[in-house]
Amino acid sequence: MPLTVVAACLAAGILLYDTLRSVDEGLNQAILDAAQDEARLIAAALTPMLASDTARTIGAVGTLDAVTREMAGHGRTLRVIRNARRESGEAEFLVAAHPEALDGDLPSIRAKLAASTAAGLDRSGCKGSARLAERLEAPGGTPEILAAATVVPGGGYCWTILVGWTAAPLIEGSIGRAYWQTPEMRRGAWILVSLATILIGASVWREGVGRRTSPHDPVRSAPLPSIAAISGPMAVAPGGAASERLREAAEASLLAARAPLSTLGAALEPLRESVRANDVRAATALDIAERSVGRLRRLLDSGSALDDFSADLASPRGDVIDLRKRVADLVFDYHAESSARGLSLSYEAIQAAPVLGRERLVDGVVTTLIDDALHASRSGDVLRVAVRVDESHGGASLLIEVPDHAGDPPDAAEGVEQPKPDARPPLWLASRHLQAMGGRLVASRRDDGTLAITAHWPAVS
Amino acid sequence: MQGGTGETTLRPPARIDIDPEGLVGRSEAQLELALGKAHRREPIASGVNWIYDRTDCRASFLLLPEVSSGERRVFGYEITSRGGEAPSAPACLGRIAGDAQSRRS
Repeated sequence: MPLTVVAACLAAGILLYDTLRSVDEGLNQAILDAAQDEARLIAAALTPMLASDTARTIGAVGTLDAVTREMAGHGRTLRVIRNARRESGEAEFLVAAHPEALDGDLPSIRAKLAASTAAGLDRSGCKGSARLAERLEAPGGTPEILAAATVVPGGGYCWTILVGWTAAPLIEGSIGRAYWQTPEMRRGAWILVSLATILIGASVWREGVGRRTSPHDPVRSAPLPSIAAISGPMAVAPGGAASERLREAAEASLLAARAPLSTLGAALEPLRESVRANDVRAATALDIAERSVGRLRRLLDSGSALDDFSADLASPRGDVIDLRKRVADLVFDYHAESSARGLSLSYEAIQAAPVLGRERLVDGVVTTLIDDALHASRSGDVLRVAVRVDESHGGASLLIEVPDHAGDPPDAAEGVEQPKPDARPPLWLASRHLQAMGGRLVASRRDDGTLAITAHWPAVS
Repeated sequence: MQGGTGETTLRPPARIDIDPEGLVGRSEAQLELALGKAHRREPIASGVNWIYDRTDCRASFLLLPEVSSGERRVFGYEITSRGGEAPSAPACLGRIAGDAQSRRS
């Protein structure tokens, strides 16, 4: 079983990875396309200034600097470089840079030019544009993604225009780095590992409980073996202490998983507020993260419910229950629904009869039986619910009577006492829970056709 | 002071014109060697502007960082005349160089 779970987790992880990667790569391509267009547009805007011979004059350089300053900002970086003429051996100048380049930034700029050349940009040919995805670290500065480079002629020289980004959502994204290094994938891996840990823990626990069960135990061949393995009285009773320790471990795991999940959920809130509406990539990443957190929360809630359930079944006769009062309360809760269906629901408590059980298990049995009876009834029917002393076996009984209907299958009462694959799961489950408390469920058809379902609880000894 | 008195005549130092195009691409040290220390230095774009002021002309040299070495070199220049007898650009630079030489000596 653990191998199956691990395989399932891996398969789910690979599918998730593949889906997220294809979505993310599509977005990255769109972003880089836009960057290349942006670089071309900027180059076109600067070309008249660069084409003039006055580009070498101090005033013209000042104007170029002011214009590029306007074009940069909001996370966009711009570098304008006048290339050396091939034959002259002249110097290659960094003419304008925004944000301003410090002396220590020049290696980074050289790296950008090298990346542009490696990407196939013909800098000496004075034309062309390249789409890049290079991550560069400016010494003492912010990390930057070099997105695009364009070369244009002007004033007898070639000019290279480099466009990059320092915007946080892009820096944190997957452009220019291996996809598994992205924060989304690391978060996803954390969730996957947590899920795998919980699932493997649960599987190991169930295997441990299952091994204590006789191979001939009918529980093993029940139609719902996974539930039967947990709920069968033979399965729980012999290994009670061990199963309790495992249950406590599972409970501790659930509690431990809730804290980082809450932190993650809280950390997403300010991100949601700061993400701009037009930042599609960041918004999509946030949606994915929030949906994952929601799913994990629901999984933990289910785990908690299962934990409570297993706690009850580990000691199914731990409390003294006032059956008369519990049933009265539950019947009261059903009055509105029965009225809405046009049914009359009568309740009769002949004698107070305390029984041994667990409140959640008792409630589960009673509500399952009433639910089932309501669904088998028709408008105008009278449903009788009664609690009385079980005179033949001692203890207490809950009796529910459902009027006869010609449409009922003749063996509707079957499958209650002897589980079989086509038995109705709710009644069968109620039967198993009742067995866990030492009781039994009996269904019989009277002469007038009324279906009588009786749940017996043993006496408090 | 003149004629056959035997006394030597004091003349201003000989000045040579300097072609500004020849200074393009020069490093800061080379420019300082040629024209002396700038009277003012103003940051502009990614570089610095060296300004030499005289009463009759003014010369500005823009030094920008060279990508390969990181060293600042002369990228361009502007020479403007002042007054009625404004010198040509090479003459202006020659006079600036002469001034620097005088200061050194």
